[in-house]
Amino acid sequence: MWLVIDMLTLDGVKEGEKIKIREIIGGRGMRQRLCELGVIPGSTVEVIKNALFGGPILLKTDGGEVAVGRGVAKRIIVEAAS
Amino acid sequence: MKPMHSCSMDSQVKGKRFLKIALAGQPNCGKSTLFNQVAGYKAITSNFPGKTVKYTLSKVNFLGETFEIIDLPGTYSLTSFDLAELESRKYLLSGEADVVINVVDASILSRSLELTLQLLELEVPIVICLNFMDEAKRKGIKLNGSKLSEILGVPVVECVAVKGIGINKLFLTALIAAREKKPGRKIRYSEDIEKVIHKLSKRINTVSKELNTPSRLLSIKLLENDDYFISKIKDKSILDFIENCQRELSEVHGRPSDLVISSERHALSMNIFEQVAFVGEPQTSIRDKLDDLLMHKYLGYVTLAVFLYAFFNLIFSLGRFLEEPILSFFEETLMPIAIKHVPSGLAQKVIQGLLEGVSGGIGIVLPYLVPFLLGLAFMEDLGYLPRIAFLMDTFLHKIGLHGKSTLPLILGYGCNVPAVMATRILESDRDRFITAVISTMIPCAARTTIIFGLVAFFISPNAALFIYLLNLAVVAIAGLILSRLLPEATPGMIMEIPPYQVPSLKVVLSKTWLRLREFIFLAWPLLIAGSMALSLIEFSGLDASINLILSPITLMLGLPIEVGTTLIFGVLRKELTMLMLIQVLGTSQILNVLSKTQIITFTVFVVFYIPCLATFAMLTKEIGYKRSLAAASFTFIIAFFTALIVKLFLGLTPLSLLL
Repeated sequence: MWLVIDMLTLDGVKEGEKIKIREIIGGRGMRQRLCELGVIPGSTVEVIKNALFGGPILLKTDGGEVAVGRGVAKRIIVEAAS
Repeated sequence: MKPMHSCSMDSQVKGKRFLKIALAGQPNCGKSTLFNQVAGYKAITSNFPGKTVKYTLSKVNFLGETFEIIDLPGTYSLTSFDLAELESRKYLLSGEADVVINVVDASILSRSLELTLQLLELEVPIVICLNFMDEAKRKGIKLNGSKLSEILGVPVVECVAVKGIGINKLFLTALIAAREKKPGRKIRYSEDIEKVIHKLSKRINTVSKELNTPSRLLSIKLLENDDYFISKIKDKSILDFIENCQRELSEVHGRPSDLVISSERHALSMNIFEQVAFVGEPQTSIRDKLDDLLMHKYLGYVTLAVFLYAFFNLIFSLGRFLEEPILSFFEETLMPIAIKHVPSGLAQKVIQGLLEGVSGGIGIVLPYLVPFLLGLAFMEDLGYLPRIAFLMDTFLHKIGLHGKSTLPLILGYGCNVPAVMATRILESDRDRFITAVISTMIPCAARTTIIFGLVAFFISPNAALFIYLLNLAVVAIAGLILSRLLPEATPGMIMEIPPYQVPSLKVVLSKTWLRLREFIFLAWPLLIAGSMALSLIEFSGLDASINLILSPITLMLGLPIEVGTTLIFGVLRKELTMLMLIQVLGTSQILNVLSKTQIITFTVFVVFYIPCLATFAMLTKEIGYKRSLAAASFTFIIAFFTALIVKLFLGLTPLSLLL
């Protein structure tokens, strides 16, 4: 169980940090839309903005900039980019 | 190139079939800009992903040949994830198009190629338009077009659609490709995936013929668990076979089979990108710094508030300046002429109603709606709207919606009709419904004239501001109530934020026109008809009975019984309530007849209750008849209680202290 506690999701990443997408927990629709916009397991993305008051998160991917809502971000598991 | 008539689906004229060119590409790739360059003002482009749900077409003359250009909705991939993608794919699979121009954003080539790889599986002639070459250069990306052409086996033409660069060459290449009928090269996936694809292709050979879909494409989509194609397969043994293939992939790769395929496509695209691109130092421009301000944690909201305040102020001061001469032309010049020539009672009333309807339309459209829509289209094309959506996401989440609902809500301040239409950009039916209902409660240009004419004029500008703030609060509460009633979770926001762009005049104009069209062809005729119906009601003396029927409401709100008819009038035409109020009260010195509390109560009620007839018509188109009726009742209840609370509150507090 301790592994789960240790898990970092996208909403907890600070602005300016680069991270690697590990897994997307969610329906196929969400997964595919994210993949189409460059948020793909294994790819590295940069968090440009992490808005206030539980707001959305702005990412920079190979495919430009993508905004994801906090609910979506909570379902994206990430790890520090090597 | 000259545009000819458009918007007709038949290409058979005297038995001659025109060559058909389909434009396909991802949202924001500049596809519609390209289309507008050759076709005139017929389609819209947007920085808001997935706008053009219907496709647009135009006949174009080029090099002495007439052909049809079909602008398909922008799609990120060929998976039937939403309606737009499904429709695009259906069209492409129908074999209607002789050649497909795949418009690609060169500045984000690797992502764009993921769609290209899928288009190549369609086995139709393809030409690639490398658009935004200037943007790519700014990003420090040098692309080798001929190398790309070599890898994909299709012609590649470099373009800057906004500036019209490369467009002639593009269509010339497309015409040649259509004649040669040579499809491009299919890019091979890794060996183990290819094996599964091959195995599945053989098994579904007959199905693929029935569905008129290349078996390789069909196999890939089935491995991706594409809902549409899976639903088309009835044979249980084939479905089991597909499931086995999916399991094989997911077991080897340790992730769901759809993710295996999309990751593979991503890797292939990256690989091609690396072969054809040289990435150097990007040129820094002001645009990169712009987001530091406009999307800043705190300053972003400040600039947004300042910006919106300035925007609405500009629109309304411009509107008032234009409105007066237009209305006085109708009232002082045209009306007396009409009355003089048609002296008899009923006919005169009807003509009067007709003229009032026409002038009401012109008095709102020209002064308020046109500048508003132009400004909005400009912001959209500039790329500011998706950023507003980003900023507003936080707040909209609080009422169970998300950032993408911003556009319909802002549009509502112009006219509710295009606002309801704009809810199409939302993915989930629930979000569309809630947004459509609450956008009908946004005070449109017509209701703004009431707020300004009654409250700001007779009480104070601050009181008018109070109405607007009250409106925002009530809209938020209404959203909250609806979200609670429909607790299904929203899918959450996943939205592309495209780079800022210099707006293209053609695109801004065509987008304005598209929204204006909804007003002119749907709202305006209803407005004129409503106006004539009102004349008849007046003539027949029905107003007394209407007042009687509505008296429970008017009495409870502490209003004179005579205002009952004006409320019926307001359903037909919102801005008429004020004119009618003056008429039924028999004086334009309203303060002599109504107290300030009554004026505010009346205005609050009028702002919220029942969408106008035109909005209602659009609502039934978008969410269906039953739900529209429910929405109308909902807004009526909200209007009644809000007005009641305001009345009671103002009754307790000395008004002069507040306003």
